[in-house]
Amino acid sequence: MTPILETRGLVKRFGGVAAIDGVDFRLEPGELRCLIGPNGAGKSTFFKMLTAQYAPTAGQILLDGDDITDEEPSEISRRGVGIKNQVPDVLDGLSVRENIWIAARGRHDTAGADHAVSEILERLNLGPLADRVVGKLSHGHRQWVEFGMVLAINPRLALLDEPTAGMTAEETRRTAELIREMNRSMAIVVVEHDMQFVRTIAHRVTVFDQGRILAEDTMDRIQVHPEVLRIYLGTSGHA
Amino acid sequence: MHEIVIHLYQVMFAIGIFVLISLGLAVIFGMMRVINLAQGEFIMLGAYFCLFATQLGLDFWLAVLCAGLGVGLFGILVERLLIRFLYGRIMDTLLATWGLSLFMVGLVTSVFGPQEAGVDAKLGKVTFGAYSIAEYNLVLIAVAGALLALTFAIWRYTRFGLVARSVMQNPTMAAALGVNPRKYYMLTFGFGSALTGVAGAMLAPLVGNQPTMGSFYVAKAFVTVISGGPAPLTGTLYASTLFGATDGLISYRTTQVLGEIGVLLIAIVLLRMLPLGITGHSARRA
Amino acid sequence: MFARLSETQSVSLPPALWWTAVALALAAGLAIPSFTGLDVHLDLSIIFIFGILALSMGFMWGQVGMLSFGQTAFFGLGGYTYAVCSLNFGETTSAMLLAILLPAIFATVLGYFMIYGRISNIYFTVITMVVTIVLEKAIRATSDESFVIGDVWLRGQNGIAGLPDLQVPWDPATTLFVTEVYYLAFVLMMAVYVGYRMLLRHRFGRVLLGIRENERRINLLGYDTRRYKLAIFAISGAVAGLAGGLYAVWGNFVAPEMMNLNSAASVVINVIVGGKATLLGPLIGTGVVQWLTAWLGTAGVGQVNLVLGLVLIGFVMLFPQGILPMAAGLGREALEAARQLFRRRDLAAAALRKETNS
Ligand SMILES: Nc1ncnc2c1ncn2[C@@H]1O[C@H](COP(=O)(O)OP(=O)(O)OP(=O)(O)O)[C@@H](O)[C@H]1O
Ligand SMILES: [Mg+2]
Repeated sequence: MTPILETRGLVKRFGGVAAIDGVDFRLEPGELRCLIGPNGAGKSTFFKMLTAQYAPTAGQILLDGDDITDEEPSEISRRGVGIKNQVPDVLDGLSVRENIWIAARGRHDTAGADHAVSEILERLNLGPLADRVVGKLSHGHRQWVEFGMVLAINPRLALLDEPTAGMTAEETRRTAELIREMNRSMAIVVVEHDMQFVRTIAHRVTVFDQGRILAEDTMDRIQVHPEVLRIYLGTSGHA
Repeated sequence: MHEIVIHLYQVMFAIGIFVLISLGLAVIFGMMRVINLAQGEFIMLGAYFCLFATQLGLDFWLAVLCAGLGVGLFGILVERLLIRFLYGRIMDTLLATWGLSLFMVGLVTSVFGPQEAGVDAKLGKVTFGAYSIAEYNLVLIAVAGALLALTFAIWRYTRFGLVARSVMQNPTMAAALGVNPRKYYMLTFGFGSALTGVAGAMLAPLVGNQPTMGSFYVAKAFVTVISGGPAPLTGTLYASTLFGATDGLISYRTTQVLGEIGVLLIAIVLLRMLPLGITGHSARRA
Repeated sequence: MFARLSETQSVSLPPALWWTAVALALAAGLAIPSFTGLDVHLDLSIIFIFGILALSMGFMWGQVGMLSFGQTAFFGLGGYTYAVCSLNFGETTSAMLLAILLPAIFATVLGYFMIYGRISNIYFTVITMVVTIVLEKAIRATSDESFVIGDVWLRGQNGIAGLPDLQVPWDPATTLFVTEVYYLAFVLMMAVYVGYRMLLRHRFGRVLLGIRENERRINLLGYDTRRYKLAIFAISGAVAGLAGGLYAVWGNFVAPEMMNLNSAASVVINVIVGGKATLLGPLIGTGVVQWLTAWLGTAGVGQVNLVLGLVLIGFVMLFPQGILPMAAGLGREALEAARQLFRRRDLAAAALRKETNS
């Protein structure tokens, strides 16, 4: 089966620093994968390369087997890739409704967009905030708005960078539910630091460290992987 | 043979002019990221300083120094009264300095009147085969080169340059190390203004000086600095060379306006290909 | 269909109310000539024409975040196009249409290089300014009698005088006189205002607002923002060209001053004084500033530049929002005070507070 997403030898250098240093990654259609790794491992950089926010220094990105390495962010989006960036990346001066409507209108006609917006507002419990200006909402609420925008473009592949940061325990639980629900119709990659959360949603986990894939396995095995323990717990292990 | 040399001279002269009018801006915009739309009026002010000083009987070269000093001080005043409130608000800086430029034109017009006035540098001509070249123009080329080298040296090798560079790159860090970033912003702005003042004075003998003369230079200066890219000094040198050569050759053969249009067209096409400017891909900043 | 979308801050009045206001303004504007003299018609027409120009800049700056100094260049180009074409053709309808079309094409070509080169917004501003300066210089340099387009000599500094009056398209024998020009300028200004406003209600305009807020995000949503920016630049170039054509009709005269830096500055000042956040702002600002400059002129202040410069600095430093939002802010406070007085509990607000606290 052709993987929905594949990278070959992906490299990104910022000056002398290699933030991504030769990543070969595969994701099967419909899969839900978690990406973990210490701060600065390159997870966000990886996502930004997949969506053409950064141009790769070397390597290839394939979507459904098509080379998309040199495509524009808008082209990649129209191929069905949606991203929620780590820092809430929303339209601060516009209302919640407008934010989601603009996202939806790219994929629907006006009536369809109006419809999609009310559906998403309800699904995310954003109804009461619909006409508030996004810039004045809390960090958590802005995360939800960005979630709404990803839902509104109805992607085939969703990239979610730390979706639960700044959320309450209850919101985190709802997010986990939402992600599982989304996974019925799309492949998802989630970057997370909260291991409990990772455990509740993921089948397979990929561990990034210093711009490389350190390990890739089920959560149970990852948890006892000596290299992973070493980078997370700082124990010298056997190395 | 003479033809070639005379062409070379034309081109060098045009490059020298480009370097002169954009060097101060390269310091202010290129290093501080402050857009000073009054750049043309700073040049005008330099020319008027020179005009005024020579009318008082001062030697031309002393007048040039006075212009540098005077416009430098004026720049510091502007930084204190205007610019420092607008750091980080690049669009607002642009608008405020535009207001400043209108204000300066209005002010100088009401003091000196709108008419043109000339300055005589009292230099002769050298003859070259069938051609004769104004000595002053040769001196101007040398001065432009010297100013560029001087700025480069100050920026690169003096303590002031070193500290100023680190302040521009990371003000918080510099402040943590006990440097007062405000002082360096102020001095750098003053330094850029002084360079512009000298440029204005150097241009004074070549043109009819009038309060609105700034608009003749502001376009060229910005095109040069923007096209130069993130390394302002080397960028200015490259861009001046490119545009000076274009302008020199076209103007010499046709008209000045066509020269300017040619420069603008090249700049626009250049920015389509290299949006970050000529030095956009080199890592080091200087 | 847009009723729900429009009740947000970017488009603030409810549509019914807004349409009523537009109708009232239209009625008032059309009524004015019947009880005023020709001099008033003349003075108001030029305000409307500059109002159109200010809208073309204010829309891009306030709604899209692109500050273009090139509007003055398009304005001048429109004027010169009308001049050259009407004198050559002996016919004004196509001249006026070309005065709109040519600046639009020029804006498209120029915009392509800038926008597709992805230069930053600040460089966009500077380059449009440089283009304006160079265009003005180019026109000024046409004093020589060899600069002729068709039968029309461009005349450099002196400008071209004696332009024909605008003919009624279906009846070329009839030409528009002062009062008719007033009607035309007024109706076109209202049309441009309503047009821009309608644009904001639709997908295209919404995406432009999104670009102002966060261009990268809009790209990530699948819109190629370069196309949108280029399109609005071309549209606004056409609108500025229209204003230029009308200016040529109004005074039967064009000159390089149409596109010099002072004209560019006065457009910016009109917009910033009125406030760029709304579309009404540029129109109000144009009225206020035109009135102010006329008053300065009669009050014998020799250096208008000096005053305009100070006004610009003052607004940027002290009132960057302009006078209209300030007035609106005062209005809102009054409204709020009235609410407090009646102690009316807004149920929705209470529910909201509950929601945010949980
Ligand atoms: N725009 C940039 N310029 C220079 N360096 C960068 C840039 N973006 C990221 N880096 C560097 O690349 C490395 C990887 O950063 P990245 O943000 O991808 O890490 P991360 O795994 O997402 O970390 P976190 O868990 O903290 O979000 C870091 O060393 C960072 O400093
Ligand atoms: Mg990250």
